[in-house]
Amino acid sequence: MDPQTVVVGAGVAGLVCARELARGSLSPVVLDRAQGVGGRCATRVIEGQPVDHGTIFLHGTDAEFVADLRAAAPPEQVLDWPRRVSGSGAPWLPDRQAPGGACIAYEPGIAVYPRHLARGLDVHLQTGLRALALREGHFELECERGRSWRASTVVLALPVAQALEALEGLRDVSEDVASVCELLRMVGSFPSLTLIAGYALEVEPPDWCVLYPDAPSAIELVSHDSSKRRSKRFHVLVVQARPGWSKAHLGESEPRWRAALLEELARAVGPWAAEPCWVETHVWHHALVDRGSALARPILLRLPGGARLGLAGEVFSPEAGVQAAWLSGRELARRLQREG
Amino acid sequence: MAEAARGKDKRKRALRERFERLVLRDRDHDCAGYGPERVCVRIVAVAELPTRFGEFWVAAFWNNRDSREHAAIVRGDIVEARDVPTRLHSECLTGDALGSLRCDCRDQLETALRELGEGERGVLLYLRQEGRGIGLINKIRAYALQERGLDTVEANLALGFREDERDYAIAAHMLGSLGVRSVRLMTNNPRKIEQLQRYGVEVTGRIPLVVPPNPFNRRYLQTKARRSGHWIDVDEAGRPASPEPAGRDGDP
Repeated sequence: MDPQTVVVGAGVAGLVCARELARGSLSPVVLDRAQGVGGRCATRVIEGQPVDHGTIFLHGTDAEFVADLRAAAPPEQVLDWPRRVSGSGAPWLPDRQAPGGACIAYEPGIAVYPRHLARGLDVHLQTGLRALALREGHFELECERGRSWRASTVVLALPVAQALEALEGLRDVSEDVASVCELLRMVGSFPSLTLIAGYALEVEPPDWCVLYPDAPSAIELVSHDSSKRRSKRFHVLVVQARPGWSKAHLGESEPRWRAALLEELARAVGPWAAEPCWVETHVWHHALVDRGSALARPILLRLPGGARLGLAGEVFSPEAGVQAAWLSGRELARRLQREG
Repeated sequence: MAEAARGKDKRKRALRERFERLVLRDRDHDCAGYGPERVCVRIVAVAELPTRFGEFWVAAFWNNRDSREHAAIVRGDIVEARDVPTRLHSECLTGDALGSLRCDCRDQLETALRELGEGERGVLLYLRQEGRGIGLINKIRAYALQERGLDTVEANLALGFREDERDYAIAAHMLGSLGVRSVRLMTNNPRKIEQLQRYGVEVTGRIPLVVPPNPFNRRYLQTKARRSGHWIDVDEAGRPASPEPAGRDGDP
C-alpha cells in the first residue's frame, strides 16, 4: 500500500514533523539522502570517540523543546554544556549566549537527539529525492536507489536550495508554488568549513569548552569537543570557520583551506594546536541560517486535485537554530492534522 | 483670559495626577493576562505630547510577552469615560514615518489623530507590530513579491502577515489599564469590533474613517477590502477607505 504522507529530510524539522504526524492518525515515511538521521545535528566517530562536527550544542528556551532534549538520553548522558565559554568574538547567533534557556549536549554525541526523534519512525536513509511531480492529484516521488512513492501529502524539510530544486517540477502547478519559489529565492544560508583536530592526551587541554576568537579571525568558534566525553583517547577540537570566510574558500582545494584553518587555530588557541595527531574536515554547504533569512512560519499549500505540500525547517520560523527547526516541524504537523 | 489659562492649567494638573495614579497603580500590576497567551501590560510612563494635530498625552506600555513597547496617544480625560473615540493603529515604518504611498497607513494615522485632536477626548493605541524580529524585512519581501506579480495568501502567511490575536488582547488590556469604560471604534473593519468585544471591551459605536486612495495604493486598497470583508465607505468617486494590506501595515 502506498503511504499517504512522505517527509523528505530527516533533520530535526522533518523528524519532529513526522513524529507528531505519527502520534496522530498519519503514518509518514521519512526519506533522507544521508547515511544517518539528524542533518546538521551530526556526530562522527573517530578512533572510537564521538565528535560533534555540526551543531556543537542544542540551545532551547521553549519548555517543551528543552524537556524533549532532556528526555532523549539517560540523565547521566545529558550534559549542560558548554560550562565555560571563552573569547570576545561575536557568535553568529548571539542569542545562544543569551542568559536563560538550556544549552545541552550528550556524552555519546549530539546525534543522540535526532535518533531519539526517529525512534519508531519509518525512515529510509540513502534515499535522496530525485524528482517530485504531481499526477492526477497525487505526488510521485522518484528517489535514489530506484525507490519511488506515491503520496497525497509531501513535507519538504530540506535546506532552501534543495527545497527549491524539489519544487522545480511543480512550478507550473499553481501560482502558490511559483510564489513560494520566489519567496525562497529571497532567503539564504551560509556554508561552514569545518576542521576536526585530535591531540595526544599528554597535551595540556584548554580550560574552556567553546572559544569565540576575538575578531578578526577566520574562525567562528572552536569547540573543545573532548570536554563532553568522560573517557577519551584524544583531546579533540572542532573548528568552524566564519560564514564569510567559508564562502570565500569553498572553491579552494581541501588541503589548502585545511592548512589555512589550522594556522588560524594555532593563532587563536596557541602554537601547540598547530600539530595535531590527526585532522579531518567537513563541508557544511547549508550550515547557518541568519535572522535576515527567517520567515514567520511553515508553509502549507493545497494543490489542484487536493494534494498537500508542506515546507518546514529552520528558515520557516522567526528564530534561528535547532529550536527554530523543531518548532517549525511541529507547527506544520499540527496544521496538517488540523486541516486534514 | 488669565482665568481661562488658569482653568486649563488646573485641568492639566488634575489629568497629570490621574495618569500618575495609573503609573503608580501599575508598578506592581500582575494580572492573569488577556487572550490565549495571557498577555499583561503595564502603563510605565505618561507625559504630555503636543502634536501638529493638537495636544495629547502619550502613555508608554510594557508587556510580559515581548520587547515591543506599545503606546497610547491620549486626548483629554478618558479615565472612567464612556463612548471614547478609539483608534487602533498598527505601526508601519514605511507608511507612518517615511510617507510610503504603497499603503494608506500614514493617511489613516493622520486622519485619526486630526479627528481625535478636534474632539474633547479620545485615544489612539499605537501597536508596535514591526518591532518584532523580522517584521520590516518580510514586509519589504512581500512588496518585492508583489512587484513580480506574485501575491498569494500562503506566501503572505509565511512572511508573518495575519491578524494577530495578541494585538487585540493587548489593545483590550491597554484600554482596561487606561480605565476606558466603553469605546466608539474608529474603523471600517468589522473584525476589529468583534475581536475587541471578545476580549471584553464594550463597543458602543463605530466611527467610519474616510481616507482617499492615491494612484499607487488603489489596487492594494481594493484587495484589502475584498479579502477581509471591510466595510467600504465609498464616496461618489468610488473611494474606498481603510483596507487590509497584503502586509502587516494598516489595521491590525
